[in-house]
Amino acid sequence: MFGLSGNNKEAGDPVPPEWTEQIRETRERWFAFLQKLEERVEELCQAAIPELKAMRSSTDAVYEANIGQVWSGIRGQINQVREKARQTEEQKIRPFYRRLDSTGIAYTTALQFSEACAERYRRFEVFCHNWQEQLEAATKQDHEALYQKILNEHEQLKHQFKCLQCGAPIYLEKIYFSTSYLQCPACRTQNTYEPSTLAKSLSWIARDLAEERTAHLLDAYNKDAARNPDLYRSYLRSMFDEWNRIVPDMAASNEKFYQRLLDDFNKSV
Amino acid sequence: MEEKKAQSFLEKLKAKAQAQEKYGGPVAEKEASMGARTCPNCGAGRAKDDGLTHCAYCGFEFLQVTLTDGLHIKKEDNSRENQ
Amino acid sequence: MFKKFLNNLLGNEDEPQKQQEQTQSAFSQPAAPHTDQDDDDDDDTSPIQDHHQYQFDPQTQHGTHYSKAAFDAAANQHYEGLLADQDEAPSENEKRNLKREAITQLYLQWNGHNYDQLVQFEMANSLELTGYATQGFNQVKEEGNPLYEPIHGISLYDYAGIAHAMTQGIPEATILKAMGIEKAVWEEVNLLWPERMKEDASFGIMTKYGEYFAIAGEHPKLANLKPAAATATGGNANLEKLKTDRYFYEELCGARTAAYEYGLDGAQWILEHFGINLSDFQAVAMDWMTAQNQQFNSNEIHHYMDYQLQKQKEYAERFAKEQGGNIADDVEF
Repeated sequence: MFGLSGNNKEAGDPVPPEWTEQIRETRERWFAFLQKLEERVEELCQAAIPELKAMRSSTDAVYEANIGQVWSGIRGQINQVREKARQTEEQKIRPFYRRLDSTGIAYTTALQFSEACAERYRRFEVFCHNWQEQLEAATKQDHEALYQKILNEHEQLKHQFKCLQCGAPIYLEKIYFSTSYLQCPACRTQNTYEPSTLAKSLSWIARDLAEERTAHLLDAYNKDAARNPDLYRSYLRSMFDEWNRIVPDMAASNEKFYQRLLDDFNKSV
Repeated sequence: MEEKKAQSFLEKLKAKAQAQEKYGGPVAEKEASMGARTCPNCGAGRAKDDGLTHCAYCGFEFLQVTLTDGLHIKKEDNSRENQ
Repeated sequence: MFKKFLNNLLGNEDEPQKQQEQTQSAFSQPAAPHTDQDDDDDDDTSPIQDHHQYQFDPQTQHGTHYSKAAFDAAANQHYEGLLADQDEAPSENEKRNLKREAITQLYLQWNGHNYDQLVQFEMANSLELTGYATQGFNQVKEEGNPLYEPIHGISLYDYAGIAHAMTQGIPEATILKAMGIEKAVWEEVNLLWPERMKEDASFGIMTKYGEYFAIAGEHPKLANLKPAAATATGGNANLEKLKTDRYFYEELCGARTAAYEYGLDGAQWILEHFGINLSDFQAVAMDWMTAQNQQFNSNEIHHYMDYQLQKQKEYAERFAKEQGGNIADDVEF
């Protein structure tokens, strides 16, 4: 990457040896510095990912705040490392480049220095970003498993309740995810059924589930070279069909949301 | 930082999260349950046919609002005399 | 006859001089009425200064030295020109962006290239320019809009009031009793207001909700309810300071962010250390944001942002110390 330029004379004076040495040294220090930072990030994440997964699987709780806090603390450390890199780039690399630039030596040399440092910095950022994504995947709730638990609970509960007034059975004909008035078929008394915390979570995992189940269609659109709008429209329809299948009670308002997203998309093409 | 250091950092982070009380208190996970409300005024039960908002016998106000078309609750669930 | 028709259409029949502007190029600036000529012959070495003291309509943020009709006509003319320059047929969004470009370019021309004033103009007219509502500019018309009709008798203001009370830590049962509803009603309301928000492409409901949240503490049915002891902020001097001292507000925003970055529940940390609950904090945040929108000043915004970052850094150092340092403290360049 360095010393490849054959026309230094056209762009400026030849580079004096002491500058060549300084350029090499600064660049190597910057590269080594970023590598050390990357090692720290990697060590922390490699330790954290199994830990976060274990925290997730060790609990049956629908809401687990501690995982979120630990994850946030790790993200904070990565951000702290990134900030350290940013400051160092600002205080060490850029001023050196400016000095180099103002000495009047071959400008391609200065430019090459700057580009090599910037390229290494970009790789560092991508490195951190990739680990952030892996951390996120490790903390993510398994929506399919949660959904299965909701289905199992419903199977187990649907014949279990009785009218508080007359004792006749009240059958749960579907999965309720919000507190609902249920009428006793025998004495017509209005009972109030409150679903479990688990069942209530159905309304907010339904979209995630539907998106996960139709992600391949969105992928097909994103990977399509021509970005065929019909591929996106077909993804959107399938995603909402899936969503409506999971929570049929929300279908009416989901359709309004679908219409809005479709309109938004149509305006963009 | 060796692996051990990363591990001890993590342990501290976990301990810190566990030690701190959560805003709004812990989320209590509840089982499903069935309840029924009788009129606190006259003791009568509440039948769907009579509407949800008022007691069919003494007029006691169960709900101080006018119901609209929602998920399961519909406009028709307003007690008739008080619509 | 035609002239009269045009003037009626443009709403400027009483201002014959404006008529002329219609025939000029879109970029010929209307005369600024408040020119303050410097007649002194003193040794003023400063370059030519813009002495125009423009006045702006508080509602539309248009300069008062021209009519809105004249502006709209000129902006349209400019937009048609931009549109004609397009190689391919633009999408709806691209057309909207072109229109916005035409309007903002013209606005700068006619109002002395004041970029802060432009931002304020754009916020005041954001529904027209971008399709999105902005907090603090009364853009949302609730009346007659079915999206704003109460759900089971619970209006958007009620909804903000309930959310505010719950975030304060008042027990759900207490709040529902005060509102005269039961849990089955509330849980439907709580599912369906967010559905309305999703349906609304202009984000008007969310904007209005934010405006209501700022005043939710005064809700007539809920104002007298007392939060649980743990989150009580009554008579809290810190809360008063948060409302009046922008620096203190910025400091606590920075502290909260830093707390989250160090694995703490930031809202809880603020409550424990300053006795301010999240609900009151967010209501104050809405007020500061509205005030900032209404008196947009980019220098001031940068100043406060820098201050917040500085404070965030200070708190981060403190949290780092408490946990025995950061993972890469010893890595040197």
